[in-house]
Amino acid sequence: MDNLFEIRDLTIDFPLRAGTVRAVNHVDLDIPRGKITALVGESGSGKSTLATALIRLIPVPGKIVSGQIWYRDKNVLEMSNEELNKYRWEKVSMVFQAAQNSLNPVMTIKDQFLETIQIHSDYYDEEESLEKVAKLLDYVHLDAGRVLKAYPHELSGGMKQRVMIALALLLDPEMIILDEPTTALDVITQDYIFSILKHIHEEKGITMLLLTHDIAVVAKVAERMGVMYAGHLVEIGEVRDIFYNAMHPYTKQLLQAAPSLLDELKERNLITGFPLNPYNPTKGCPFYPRCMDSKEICKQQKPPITNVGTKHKVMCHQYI
Amino acid sequence: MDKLLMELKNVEMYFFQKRGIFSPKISIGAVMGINMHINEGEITALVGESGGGKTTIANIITGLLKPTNGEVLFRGKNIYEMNRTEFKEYRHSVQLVQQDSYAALNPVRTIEHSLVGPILSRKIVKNRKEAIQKAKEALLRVELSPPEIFLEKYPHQLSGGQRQRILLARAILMNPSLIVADEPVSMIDVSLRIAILNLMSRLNREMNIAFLYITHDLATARYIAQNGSIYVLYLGKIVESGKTRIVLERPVHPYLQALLSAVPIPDPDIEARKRKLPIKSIDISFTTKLPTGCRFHPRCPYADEKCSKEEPQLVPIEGRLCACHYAESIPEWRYLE
Repeated sequence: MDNLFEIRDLTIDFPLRAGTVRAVNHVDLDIPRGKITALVGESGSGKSTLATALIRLIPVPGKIVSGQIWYRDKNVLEMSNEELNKYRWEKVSMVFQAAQNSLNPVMTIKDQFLETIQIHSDYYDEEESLEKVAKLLDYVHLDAGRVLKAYPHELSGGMKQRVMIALALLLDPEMIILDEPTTALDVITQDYIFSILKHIHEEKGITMLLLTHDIAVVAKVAERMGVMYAGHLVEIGEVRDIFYNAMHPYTKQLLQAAPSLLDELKERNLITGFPLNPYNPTKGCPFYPRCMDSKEICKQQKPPITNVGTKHKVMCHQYI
Repeated sequence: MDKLLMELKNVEMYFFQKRGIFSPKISIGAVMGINMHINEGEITALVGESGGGKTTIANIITGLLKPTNGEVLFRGKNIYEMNRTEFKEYRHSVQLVQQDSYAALNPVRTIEHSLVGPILSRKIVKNRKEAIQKAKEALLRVELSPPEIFLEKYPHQLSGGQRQRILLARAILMNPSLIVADEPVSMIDVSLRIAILNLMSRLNREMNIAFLYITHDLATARYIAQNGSIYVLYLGKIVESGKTRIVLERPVHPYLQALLSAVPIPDPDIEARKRKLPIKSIDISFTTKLPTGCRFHPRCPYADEKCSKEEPQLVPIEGRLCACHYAESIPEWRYLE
């Protein structure tokens, strides 16, 4: 498996007034080239923070405390500003959560596309650029004639989201990061957006990193998936291995917590217990207070990462 | 025998838009021809896409919006013919829980203030001490414990799920007979939704409160309204309605079938085998220019000329109501290839 990114020992802290929150906790993660990898976790699990580190856009006051992010033979965390400008949006782009609000409300869609191209090119030709933009819009099933002259508020949520995807593809990046790309969109639009993403992936071979709290969406789209809890990567593997052979107690609970259209209608079980206090990290396993299988050692010691199958790893004392 | 709590009879809502001094006002029909029954103690789901009219109906049912035409009946009486006392009673009896819990709470007031204010102003209790006691009981009912801690907090100090529970607490303090919940879990992580849904089920059973659960997510609608009814809304019109089990077991209307196909299932093998969505184009027509005839016809894979000319009416078929010219011949919906 050829990796596009290799994240090693990444730790990101947020020093806040009430204390320091460790949003990402010594995470090792490989992102294979040409595949769709999903990162699953609840809000606050650290997945968005980790993703923003990939393009060095961690929100203030986040600080990288340790680790490297290897992209080819370069450490992204050590890139100069010049290198970053050639890297961001050209090699890796991102569609942010509620991306619909990322569009400039006082510029037409056309101007926003053209501006992006202008900033990144040494040589800029308006006609050529417009042709490229029209093709991209067509790709995401938008009517260029109508959309280009519109302002963001004239488009529906689903249309704006597709504009953001087109913008992310504009400079032919190697990877797109999508952070909850279909939140606030209804189910038919969501289905459509994902089929567009799959189509793009199949045709262009773009690597994708999908961040979501909805595991049903992962089943639909991803090939590999990682599960994050309290800043830790607790399990990672091929999607089928995780769904049919989940190892980590949190993963198991997560899988059965989502209501499905096809299941029997009995009352489902919720994940018991309370999440960790983020200001008071534990020296043991972060899932200990909510784990049904926990033992004394789980309280005292953080579990190491163990291999449990082909390309399947889990962070749990049960599997050592 | 089911006792009727609320009824909408031929309700229509038009919004008027000025176009200029010399142009006539154009009317945007947000919802048309709505007939709904909500029974005491029952959970009813109202399902539809964004922009389809769901929130308009929520506002009409809670008395926040007066419909352009039609009747809104509470316990058999038209709410716009009620005297002040009756109307007040109705407004207390029908509570609204909004989608955005953060926007629904005063950010500069503690939870105590938000909960105690309404009970005091409605004079349900004699004094502030009793009001606080009632507020604590409500917090325990919505599983927020210890209640003292939550009374002191400000909305921004709570998680989305906790805020949603506070909105439910605020609603039950009014001793309602109906809670209208508008997308109550769409802003909460999928893995945490079940907890809120189970809570609503519990409140329904223990306190005999009816719920109108408004959503675009069929999986949660099916779960929570499993013993009640479902109404499917498309561009302001009901296209299918009936008992949830009957409707979702054998969906008839092509729009409903498309909605069901679009819901992702947390199972990779099943997802890999799924059929493509049985729908033609994706972009909904903007509501100022509604399609002629059946509103769904531009996207419907079974539509023909008749569908573009004549609007179908809701007719009984297979134990539910469906508005489709070809309801009898729409193929049975299957999830997989």
